[in-house]
Amino acid sequence: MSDDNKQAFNLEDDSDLNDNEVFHSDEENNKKNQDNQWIDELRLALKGGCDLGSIRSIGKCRSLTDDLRLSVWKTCLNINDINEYDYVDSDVFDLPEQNLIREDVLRLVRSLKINKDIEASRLSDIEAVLTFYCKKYNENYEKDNGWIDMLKPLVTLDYKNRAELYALFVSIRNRYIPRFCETDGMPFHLFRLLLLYHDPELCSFFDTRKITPDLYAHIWVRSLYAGTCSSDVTLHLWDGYFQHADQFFIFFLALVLLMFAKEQLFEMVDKEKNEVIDFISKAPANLTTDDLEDFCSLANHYASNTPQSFRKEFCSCLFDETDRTTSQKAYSVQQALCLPVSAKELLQANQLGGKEGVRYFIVDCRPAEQYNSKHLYTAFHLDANLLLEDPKEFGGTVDALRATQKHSIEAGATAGGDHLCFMGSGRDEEDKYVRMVVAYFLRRNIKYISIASGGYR
Amino acid sequence: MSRPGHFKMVLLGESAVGKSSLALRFAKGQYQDHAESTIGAAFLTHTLQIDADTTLKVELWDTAGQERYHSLAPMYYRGAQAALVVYDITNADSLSQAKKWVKELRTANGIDMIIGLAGNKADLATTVNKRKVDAREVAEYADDNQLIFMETSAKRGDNVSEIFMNVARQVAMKQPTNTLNKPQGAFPPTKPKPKGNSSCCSSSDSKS
Repeated sequence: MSDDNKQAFNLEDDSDLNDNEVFHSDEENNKKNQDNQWIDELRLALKGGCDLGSIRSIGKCRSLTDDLRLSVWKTCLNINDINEYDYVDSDVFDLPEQNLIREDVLRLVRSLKINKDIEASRLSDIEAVLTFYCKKYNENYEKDNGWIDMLKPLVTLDYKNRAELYALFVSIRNRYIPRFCETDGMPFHLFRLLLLYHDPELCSFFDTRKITPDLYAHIWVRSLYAGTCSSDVTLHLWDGYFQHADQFFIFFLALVLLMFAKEQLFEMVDKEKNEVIDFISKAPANLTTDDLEDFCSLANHYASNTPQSFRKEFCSCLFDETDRTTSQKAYSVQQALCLPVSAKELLQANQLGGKEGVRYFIVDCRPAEQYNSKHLYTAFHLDANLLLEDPKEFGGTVDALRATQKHSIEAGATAGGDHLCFMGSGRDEEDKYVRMVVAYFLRRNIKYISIASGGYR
Repeated sequence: MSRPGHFKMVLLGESAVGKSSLALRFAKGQYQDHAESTIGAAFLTHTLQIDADTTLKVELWDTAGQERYHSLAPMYYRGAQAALVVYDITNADSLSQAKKWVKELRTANGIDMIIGLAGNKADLATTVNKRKVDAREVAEYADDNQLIFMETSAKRGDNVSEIFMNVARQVAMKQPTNTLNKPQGAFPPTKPKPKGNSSCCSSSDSKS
């Protein structure tokens, strides 16, 4: 991308990118100068011991130069030089799975194509780090658990000692790799809901084939894409990722990968399940460093066009080891028909108005007498009972709702919004009607469908 | 309770056993390869000619088999006079799920509900080792539970209209005559009609 003003993670209007062909070389020179400028600025800031905030405002999530990478990553990951992760060096490699570890480490180091001396030291460093990690956290090393993939970009850095390599590894794992990245794991159920939110048709394509996201995305999520992207791409992706510091960004990147592949997926309608999984799981391998800017700005676009409250809801159970609400949340996310939105977010969005962020069109599905006695002044009432009593007429009511929604968006009304949020009473029996209505909308492949958690209060 | 000449019926069963395919074959006589999974429930109607002077409109709720929609099933089977529970003859688990549905329906709607049990994908029975459910065992289970049982093939059309027709006939037999779709006033309302033995359904083919 040639526009200097364009921030790596900001989707902006492309209009000012056109018609500049004539000045191309000029622009390139300018770009080089400015590139150097921000890098020098960043180098200076790092020397002064800057924090993540200043790195982000200078770096703007752009790819870094090799010499700055380690110190930027360390700052972003909040790693200082006092061995806070309590690494204890040892050459006792005696885990039951030690042979497996050694094999994988050897394969990794060979693939780096570095000279023999460095190769030997990298080899023992990685093995030491993995072995210590297993012992400390009482975890077993398994093939395909993503650890070795995560270490691949890390060993290309000029790290000071094993303690530092270990700190990088642990910090990235704790911060950015969601817990329970296993079959039927919570991160994948959550991802399904995000996919459903943005593309019900594609979600249904996968559901029909019983292809759950863990089948194709586990290697993406477990290794923060290092397992499938080329080494170069991983380094640049992580440059942006750690500056951006959004723990949920991994899901939005995955969403973009699916969108990129959507057309091809739909052409695979008569293909075997495994073939589809194989095709989509390799999607990140096609990325080049040139694609990254678009890749990330699209992901950012999806992130900002998604209700925010799910983050708060799931952050601690996905990323905090001490969280105890996990099993309950895992069940709720697995059974959810669509993304939940907190009442707080709904009210805030309603009050703020304006063009920023997600704008909701609220559909109140409570029984008429409850709606009549009190309701949000912007809410549209939809009689859910009609869906059972007279399905044909209900269809007509839904068409009217869609027309009203369209009209209020065009008119710029506060009640207008692309995002349909359904609201019940919060009472289980009545809310079954709301869920039924939600399913009806999803069936019509309507996107941006959410449900107000807890209902009207 | 029900409108004249109409009855409500629900399709239940595990995902991918062919509920929507049966519904499509029944209502439109069509079959579609690679059909998409049903979300929530689909609603369709089809009018059946029970006999020379009785027609019945079936209001069919084709529910989603995916587990996340199970909690909604009661919304659709509540007040339904009939159900068709479907399993896939190449999938033994789907029969267990079908039995669970039968149990749930009997608990919720009682013995009055007419329940059909369809062992679908019968066309695959000819493929070696595909069949995983023995028809005789299911027939026995169906007898014990008063179910109308048939093996069907939505793909080839085998037994599809037959099983719907049999269910509809039994519904017609159970329904008081005055709710059937006869020309209004054709029968005086005072005419005695013992339940389950009404004239319109007493013909010999009513239990075929």
